[in-house]
Amino acid sequence: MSVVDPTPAANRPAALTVSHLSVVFGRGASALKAVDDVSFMLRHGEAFGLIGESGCGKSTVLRALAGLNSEYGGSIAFHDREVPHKRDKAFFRRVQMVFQDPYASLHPRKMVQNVLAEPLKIHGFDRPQERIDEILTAVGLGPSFRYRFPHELSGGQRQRVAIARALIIEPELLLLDEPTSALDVSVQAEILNLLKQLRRDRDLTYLMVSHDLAVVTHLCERVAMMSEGRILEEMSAADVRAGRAHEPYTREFLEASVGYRPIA
Amino acid sequence: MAPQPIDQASGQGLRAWLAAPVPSSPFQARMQQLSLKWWRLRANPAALFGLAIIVLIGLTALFAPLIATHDIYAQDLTLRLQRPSAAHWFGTDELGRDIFSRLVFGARITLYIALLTAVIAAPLGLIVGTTSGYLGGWVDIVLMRVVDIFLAFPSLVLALAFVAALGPGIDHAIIAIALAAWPPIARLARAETLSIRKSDYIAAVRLQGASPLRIILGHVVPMCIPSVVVRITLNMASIILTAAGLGFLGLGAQPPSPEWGGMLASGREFILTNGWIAAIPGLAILITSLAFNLFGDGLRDILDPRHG
Amino acid sequence: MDRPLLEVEDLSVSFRGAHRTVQAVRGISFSVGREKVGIVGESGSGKSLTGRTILKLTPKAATISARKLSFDGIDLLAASERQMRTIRGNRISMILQDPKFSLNPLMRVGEQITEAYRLHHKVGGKEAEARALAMLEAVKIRDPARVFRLYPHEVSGGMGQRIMIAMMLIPEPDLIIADEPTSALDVTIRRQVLSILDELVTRRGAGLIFISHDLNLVADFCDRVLVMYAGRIMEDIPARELRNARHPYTRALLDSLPRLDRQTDMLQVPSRDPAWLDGPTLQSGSRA
Repeated sequence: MSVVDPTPAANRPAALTVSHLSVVFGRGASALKAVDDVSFMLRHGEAFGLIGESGCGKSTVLRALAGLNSEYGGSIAFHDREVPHKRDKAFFRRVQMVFQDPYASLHPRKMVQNVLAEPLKIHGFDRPQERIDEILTAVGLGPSFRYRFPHELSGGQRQRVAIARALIIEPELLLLDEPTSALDVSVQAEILNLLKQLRRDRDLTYLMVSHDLAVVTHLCERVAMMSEGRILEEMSAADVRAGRAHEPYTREFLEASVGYRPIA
Repeated sequence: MAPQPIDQASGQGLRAWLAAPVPSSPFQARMQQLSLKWWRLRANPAALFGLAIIVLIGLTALFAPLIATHDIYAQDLTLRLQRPSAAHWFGTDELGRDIFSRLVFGARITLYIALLTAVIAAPLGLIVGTTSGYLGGWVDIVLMRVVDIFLAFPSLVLALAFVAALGPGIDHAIIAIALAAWPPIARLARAETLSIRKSDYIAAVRLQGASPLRIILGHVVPMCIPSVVVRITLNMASIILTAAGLGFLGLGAQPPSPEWGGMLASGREFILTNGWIAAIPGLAILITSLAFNLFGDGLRDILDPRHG
Repeated sequence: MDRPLLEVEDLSVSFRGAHRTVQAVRGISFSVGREKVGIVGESGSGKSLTGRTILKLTPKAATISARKLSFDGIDLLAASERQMRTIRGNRISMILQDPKFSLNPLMRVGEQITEAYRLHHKVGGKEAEARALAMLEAVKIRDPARVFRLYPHEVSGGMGQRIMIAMMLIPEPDLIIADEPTSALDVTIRRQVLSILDELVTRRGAGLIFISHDLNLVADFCDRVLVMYAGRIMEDIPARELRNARHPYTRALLDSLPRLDRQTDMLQVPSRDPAWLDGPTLQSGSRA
């Protein structure tokens, strides 16, 4: 496990550079520009949030970054080296994803042990049993969960297994797709704490997508507001908390997120 | 919070082992899941009845030499067309052979046909369907057109054509029926694969760098197995009937083999005078088909992947 | 002070399973007047079930018992199914979470609204249509005549929910039960929809029961909040005092939420005190 690098964030190397990313669904007249000329940069060790409402393209960006969608325009560079549109194993070894719905992201028929052993096998890791025990302990479950099936686990437990699965091959960058939106409020706190702790312990870089402003500012230092496939503006978490936004849409979003106030 | 399995008090041995909240080995975990399915099946009397009949037929087939009372090939023309009696429980047929013993040995043939057909058709359909559904593109197009061609023929006609080409006999009949049975399985597997493909757990394993082969065999196929098993079980009835039909037409098991369909055929001439010769094998076919149908329905309820 | 619209005393709902009986709602008591009452809780707390029990829309396996369950003087517990049908959608309406699932996908939107009206009022088609169009305007839909002819899949989430509100409010009910009405909506749309709901409820002087898992939303929107846990009401408190709630469960929930106005390192994870299952509950403030 790597020691946390004490270099301040601004001086750390760029981990992920996205340049003019665009994703179009459909063809011809019915073509939909889900992502339209999106560019941003993520430094190693940072936590960056993409926020926006449904349909703004944030999940599409994440999926394109993950390698689930190989048809996109623009370029994605990981540590200053452009990644091929169809990713290779070396990429997946360093970039992993945690999905939104814990009830859908684990194979219903596979025991926790097999879920965790598979990525180890694919990437040729040694000491698989030890690693499984270690990661289960690190996510707060423990080795007794090895032989459980997903339907025997609660939402929070499943999400921990999903996080364990993502981290067991020791990636560097974690893509998080609304990791707590499908969970109960009290379970959300556990998972957010876990994510924060893991990031510290393993010097991870996070790119998180969410529609919940409070959750995003809790975990991330910088956020980008997306709407209709575009990035409207980037802000620091402090800016968001203070309500300092330039774009009127962002301001409306921030206001609406703070609480309900009747429209005058 | 997921519902917890009910603790079976402080029982010892097997019950405690099956009810242990934390399984300590993969085997124990799988047995626990299996036992949960068994409890659910027990709640379905029709399915249990079907299973009981199937087990009964299986045991009959297994222990046929011990159960049968007479030599199935021994002809005695002086005893032909006897009614059911103490000496011959189901009577004798037109060549004086004991019907009961022939029925018992016929169970072997029926089960042989049914199981072998399932063993050929199900994996074939599963592989074709999942590959086609997962890879898409021209692989999908080509494979599905092949399936379409097979599906265009009614199953009995298709089986007849194959048997006519290959020659009569029980093994050719099995191949013929299997070739007619696999396309609907492929269709079913493909339809399931199309929706499985979109799920997050498949995306997750893609993101680990798994090859399509690993994904299809290790992740997609296990999810398709329940519906294929149910489908094939429900198809058993039609497989048995097709085999009986081929036997009836003289294209399946050849005489003097005691195949039920063949027995039905030879009993046809005597339906009005010595009805039992045809009725008894006919009833056997009916009960076997019904048993598979009832059991298959019960299987469908318990194998729903959403319940694990 | 006028009599409350809904009075619930010692309501319990239980499900008899194969091996044991599950008490989903355990002896809760509350009343709702012409005000907005929020019922907050996590999944499994019994909040949705409570809403459905008022309309007696519980599953067959459920057994309802109460010392008192009355709406405007009508004993709901003793009411027959026939009587309930005259109340549902007429005097008490229910708004559900996702219009994708609560609107009939095969019927045009306008037809569904007119049907909702004609079920309880004997009027001709033309008049029902006129009322439906007026209702669509009341929920701030800009082109009511066009939307009237649309199918549910052709409208967005926010508009679908407004249509749902129109459908449920057209018979002018006295009590509205809203079960997570904005959980499936984006924050900016949520604000719109809640404003409309707020306006309509206040204008008609109706009562509103707002069921949600979102503590902050309920604190802002409602007049009074009931916090439910494990089938019981832990705390009954005026909304503006929610931030100063005293029951440990409510406090634990509030403290576990990430806050926009305050930066915390680690969130406080609520620990489940088994004492909460049967311990004392709190009621503060009086009804307006």
